[in-house]
Amino acid sequence: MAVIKEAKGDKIFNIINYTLLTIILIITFYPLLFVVIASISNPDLINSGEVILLPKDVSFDGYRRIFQDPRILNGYKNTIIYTVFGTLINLGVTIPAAYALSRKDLVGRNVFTLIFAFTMFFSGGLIPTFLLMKNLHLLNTRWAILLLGATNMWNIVITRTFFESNIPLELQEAAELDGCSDFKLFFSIVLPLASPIIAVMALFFGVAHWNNYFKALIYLSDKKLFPLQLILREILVKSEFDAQMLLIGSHDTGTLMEELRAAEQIKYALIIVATLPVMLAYPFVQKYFVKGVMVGAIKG
Amino acid sequence: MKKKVISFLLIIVMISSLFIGCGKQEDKETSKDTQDETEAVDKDKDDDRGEDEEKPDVPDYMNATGYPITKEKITIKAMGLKNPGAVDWSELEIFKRAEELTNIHFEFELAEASTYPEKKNIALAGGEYPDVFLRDMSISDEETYGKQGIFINLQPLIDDYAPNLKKRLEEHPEMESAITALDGNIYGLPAYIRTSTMNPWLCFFDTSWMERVGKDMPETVDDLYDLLKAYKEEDANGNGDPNDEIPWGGVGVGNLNFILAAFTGLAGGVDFDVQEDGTVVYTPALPVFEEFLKYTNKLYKEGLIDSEMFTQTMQQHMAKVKNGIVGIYNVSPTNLPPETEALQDGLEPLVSEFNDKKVAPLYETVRTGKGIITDKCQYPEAMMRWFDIWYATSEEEDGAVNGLNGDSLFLGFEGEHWEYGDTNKETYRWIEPVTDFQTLRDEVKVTLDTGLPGYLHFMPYPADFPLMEMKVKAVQTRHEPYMVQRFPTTVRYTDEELERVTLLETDISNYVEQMVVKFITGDEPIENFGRFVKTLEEIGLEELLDIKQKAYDRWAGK
Amino acid sequence: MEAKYQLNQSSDLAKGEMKKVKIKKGKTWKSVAKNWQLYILLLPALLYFIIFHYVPMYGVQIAFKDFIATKGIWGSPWVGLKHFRNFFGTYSSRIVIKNTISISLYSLLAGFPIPIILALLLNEVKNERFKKLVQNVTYAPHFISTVVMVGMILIFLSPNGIINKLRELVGLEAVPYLTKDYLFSDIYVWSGIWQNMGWGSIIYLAALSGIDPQLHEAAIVDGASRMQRIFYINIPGILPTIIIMLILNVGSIMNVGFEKIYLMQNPFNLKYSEVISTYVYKVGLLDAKYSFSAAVNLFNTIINLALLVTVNKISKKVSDVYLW
Repeated sequence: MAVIKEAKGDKIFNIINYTLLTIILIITFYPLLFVVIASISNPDLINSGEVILLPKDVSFDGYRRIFQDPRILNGYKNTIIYTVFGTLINLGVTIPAAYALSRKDLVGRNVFTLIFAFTMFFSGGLIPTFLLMKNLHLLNTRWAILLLGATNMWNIVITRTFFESNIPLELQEAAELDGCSDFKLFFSIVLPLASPIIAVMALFFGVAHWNNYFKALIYLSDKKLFPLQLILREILVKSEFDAQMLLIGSHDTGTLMEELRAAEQIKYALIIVATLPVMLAYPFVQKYFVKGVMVGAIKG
Repeated sequence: MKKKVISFLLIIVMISSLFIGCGKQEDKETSKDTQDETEAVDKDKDDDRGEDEEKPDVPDYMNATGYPITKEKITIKAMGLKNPGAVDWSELEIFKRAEELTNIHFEFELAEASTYPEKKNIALAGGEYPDVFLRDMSISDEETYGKQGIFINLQPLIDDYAPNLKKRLEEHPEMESAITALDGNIYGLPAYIRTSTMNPWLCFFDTSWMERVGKDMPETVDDLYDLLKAYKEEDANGNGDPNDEIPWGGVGVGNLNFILAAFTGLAGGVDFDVQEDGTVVYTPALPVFEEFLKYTNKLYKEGLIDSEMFTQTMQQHMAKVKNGIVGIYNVSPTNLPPETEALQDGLEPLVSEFNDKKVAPLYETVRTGKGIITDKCQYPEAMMRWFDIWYATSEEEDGAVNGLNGDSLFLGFEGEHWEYGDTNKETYRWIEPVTDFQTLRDEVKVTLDTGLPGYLHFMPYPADFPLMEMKVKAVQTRHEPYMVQRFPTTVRYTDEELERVTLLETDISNYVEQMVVKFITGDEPIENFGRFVKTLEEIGLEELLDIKQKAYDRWAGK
Repeated sequence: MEAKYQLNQSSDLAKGEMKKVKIKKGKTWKSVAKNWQLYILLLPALLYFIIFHYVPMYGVQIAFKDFIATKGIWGSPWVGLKHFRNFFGTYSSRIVIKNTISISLYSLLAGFPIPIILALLLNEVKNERFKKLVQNVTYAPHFISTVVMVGMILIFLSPNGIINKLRELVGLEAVPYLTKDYLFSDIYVWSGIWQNMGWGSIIYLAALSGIDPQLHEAAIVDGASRMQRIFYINIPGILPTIIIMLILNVGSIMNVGFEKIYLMQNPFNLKYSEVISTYVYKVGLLDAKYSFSAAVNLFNTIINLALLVTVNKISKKVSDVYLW
C-alpha cells in the first residue's frame, strides 16, 4: 500500500518537476533566440519592438563586418592558447593545493588557508602589480596572461570542499596502511575520483580565460598577442562610438547611417562569434558529472 | 585558534618585510631615475633660457628652420588616442608624408577611448610613458604631471621653434589662456577647430509640418507650446493619422537646454554658467528654473515631448525621426535619408516673460591637451618644430609645406583628395577615389572630433549635399547671431580646489539629474522645488560656486 | 531512517576531528615530516600567492597617501584618513552604501537558492536528452555580454517591448517599467538570476554527482519517496558545498558589479541604482583618483572581511564546515 502511494507521489513530483523545468527552459530560451534574430534583423525594427519571433529584413552585414577584420583569426588563435595553457596551469596549481588543504592531518592547514584567504580581500592594486610584472620582465609576453591569476582562493575553497565531502577518509587510511605515499594517493587514487570537480574547475578557469580582456589590455601592447575579446571589444566600442557621432552631426554623415545600422547587428553577432566555441565545450564537461558516481563503489 | 592567528600574522609580517624590502628599493630607484632626468631637462632649459635673448642654442642634431627638421632619421615613441576601428596611424598618409619631410619617425602605441585612460594612467604611474602623448590629456593631468616634471614646459620651445603656433596664440588670446597652466607654464598644445558644419543647438524640424498646421516660427515659449499642441492634435506629418506625431523628441535632459535658455537667458544648460557681469551661477538653483520645470512638466503631461525621452537611446530616437513622426528633433538633419526633399530648418532661440534675450552657446573652438612632450623625449626641439607644421593655415601665403598644414589634418590634401566646389570657395567636393570621410580616415588622416594638435579654420561645406546646406544655412541664420559665452570648459583648478570640485560636483549633478527628470515627469511635485534647492545647499553648492567663481576669474584674467 | 543517512556523513567528520586531536598531542613535527609531499602539492599555490599577491601588497598604503607618480608609492606623502573623510563626508556616501548593501542582499537572498533548486530538480530528471537540453540552455546566458544584456532588458521592458505586448494580450495596461525607480532592484536582480542560474548550478551538479549511489539504493529499498530522498540524501550531501558557497558569497557582499548597474542607470532610478562602485567611477572620472578609490575599496574589504569572519565562525559552530 505504502509503495503504491509513494509511487503516486513520485509521479506528481515528476509532473511538477518537468513543468517547472519546461517553464525555465522557455524563459531562458527566448532571449537567446532574440540574440540570434537580432544579429540578422534590421536594427530599426528591433529598436521599435517590431521583431518578436522571426527575423525581419534579414541581412548578415554584422557578421560580414566582424569577419572582415583581419585580426579576428589571430585573436581566436591567441585566445585558444591562453585558454588551453592558462587552464592547464590553473588546474596544476589549484587541484593539488586544494587537496593538500583538504587533508585534516596537514599541520599548519589553517595558517595556509588564512594566508591564501587574505588575498581574496586585500590586493596591492594595479600599479604595484604592473611594476611587479615590469620587474619580472613579463610585460608584453604571453606569460603575463598565463601566470597572473594562476589560481585563486575562491576556486581552491570550492575544490577543497569537494575533496572533504567526497573523498572518504577510509580511502586515505587504507592507503596509509598499504604504505602508499601522499603523491601516489593523490595522483592515482584521488585524481581519478575528482573528475567532476576537475571538470568544473576547468570550466570556471577556462571561461574566465576566454572572456578576459583586462589583463591583455594592461599588460600587452603587441597587437599580435591580443586575445579575441580585446579585438571584439574594440569592434563593439566602435559601433557605439558611431552612434554617438550622430549627435555631433559633423561633415561625416553619408556613411554613418550605414555604419550605425551595422553597429546594432554587430553587438548581437559578436555574442555568437565570441561564445559559440565555449558553448560547444559544455557537453564535454557535462560527461564528467556522471563519472563521479564511482566514489561510492570504491567506498563499499 | 588564537595561536593560529598569531602565527598567521607572524608569517604575514615575515613575508611582507622580506618583499617590502626589495619593493622599496625598486621604487626608490625608479623615482631617482626620473628625478635625474627631470634635473637634466631643467638644466637644458636653463641653458636655453640663458641665450634666449639673442638666438636659441640650436642642438646639433637638427636644423632651426627649413626641412628636414632633423639631420638623421629619429624615432619618437608616441601614445595616442585612436578612434575605435581606425587603422594604425603609421599607415596614414599624413604621418608618412610628414616623416618624409621632417625625418621624424613615430612608433605609435594607440588605444581607444574605452581603454586609453587605463593605459595612459598606468603608463604614467608605472613610469613606462612614451616621448609624446597625442590627442587626449585632461587639464588636471596637465597640472598634475606638469608640476611633477613628467610633462615638460613647452613655453620656451614655442618661443624658439614654433612661429606658426606663436602667431595663432597672438590671434587668439583665449587659446593662450586656455592652455596656460596655473604655474604660468604650457604643458599641452591646443587644437583649434572651427568649421561651418558645427551647430550650437540642435532642435531642427521639417518646415512642411508648420505649413500643414498653419503656424509660424515660434518667438516665445508660449508660441512653442501652441505649435507643439497643434502638432499633437492635427495630422502634422500628413500621413493621414493625426495621432502618430511626437511633437518634440530627443534623448536626455540635455535636449531641453534650448527651452531652458528661453527662461534663463543663459546658454549652458542644466549646469554652471556665467552671467553677463561675470557672476558664476548654477542654473538649477535659480528661481526661474522652477518656471522652466513647470513649463516642461506641462509639455510632458500633455504628451508634447516624447514620453520615452529620458530612457530611450540615440538609436531609438533616430528610428522615430526616420519614420517621420517627430516634429522637432534633436539630431543633425544630415542623418535623414539623403533623398529627403522637404526643407529642414532650425528653431530660433526663444524668449519668455522672464527673459527677453535670445541666446545660443558659443562654439567651443579651443581644445586643450592635444600634444604633450614628456621628460623622456630626447628631441623636444625637433618635436616642437614637427607640431608647428599643423598650426600653419592656408589663409597665409606660405601656409603649407608640401601641402601639410592644419587643413590637411581635416581634409587631406587639396587638389589630391578634395577641391573647392565653386569659385567663391563656399563649398568643397571630394576627388575620386575619395568619396567620403571614411576613405580619408582609412588612408590619410585621423578623425577630427577631438583633434590632433593643430589649427583649422575651414568654412566651406560639402557640395551636392542638400541636407548639409540646409543645416549650415539654418545654423548661420537662426543660431549664430545669438551666441554667448558659457562657463568655459578650460578653467583650471588648484589641487585642493580640484579635490573639492570633484567630490561636490559628482554629488550635485547626480542629485540634480534625477530630480530634474522627476520634476518634469511629475513624479516629484513642483511644490518641492524649495526643498530641492535647500538640499543643493546642504550638499555644498555654496562652496562649489565659490571655487568655480575663483577659477573663472582666473580664466577671465581678472 | 533519516538519521541513518545523516549519521554516515557525520561519522566521517567525527573521525576527522579525532584525528586532529591526536595530532595535536605532540606528534606535530613527525606529521610534518610524514606529509612532506603534501607541502610540495601546496607549494605552487603558495609561491603564486606570495609573488603575485603579497609582493605587490605594499600598494594598500596608497589609501592613506596622496599618490604622486614620480615619487612612487613609497615616496608619496602620507595624508592619514583624508580619503576616508572625503568619502564619508559626501552627501552620497550613506545613500550609496545603503544601496550597495540592499541590492547585494537582495541578490544573495533571491539568487543564492535558485541554482541549488535548479540543480536538485535537474538531478531528478531521468530523461537524459531533456536534462542535457535544459542544462545547456540555462548555461548559455552566462556568456551574453553585459552591454547586450542591458540592451535587451531595455528593449524587452520598453513600452512597446515584448513584456508589455504580452500584458496587452491578456488585457493588462502597459507599464513603463524603466521609469519606475522602485522596480530597479527587481529588474537588476531577476535578470541576473536569469543570466546566471544555469552557470551557478554547475557546482551543485558536480557535488550531486559525488553522492554515494548506495545511499539512494538503500533508501529506495526502505521505501523513501523522491522528495524524501532529496531532503535526506541529496541536500545533506551537497550541504558542505552550499555552506561554503554561502560563506564566500557573504564575504563579497560589498562587491556589486559595476558595469551592469552603470549601464542600467537612468535619471529615474539613480536614487536606488547608485552603488559604491558606480559612484567611485563617477568621482574618479575626471582624473585618476587612485588614492580615493583605494580608500573606498579598503572600506569595502573591511566590511567583507568582518562579515566573512563572522559567518565562518557561526558556520564552524553549527555545521563544522568552515574556511579556517
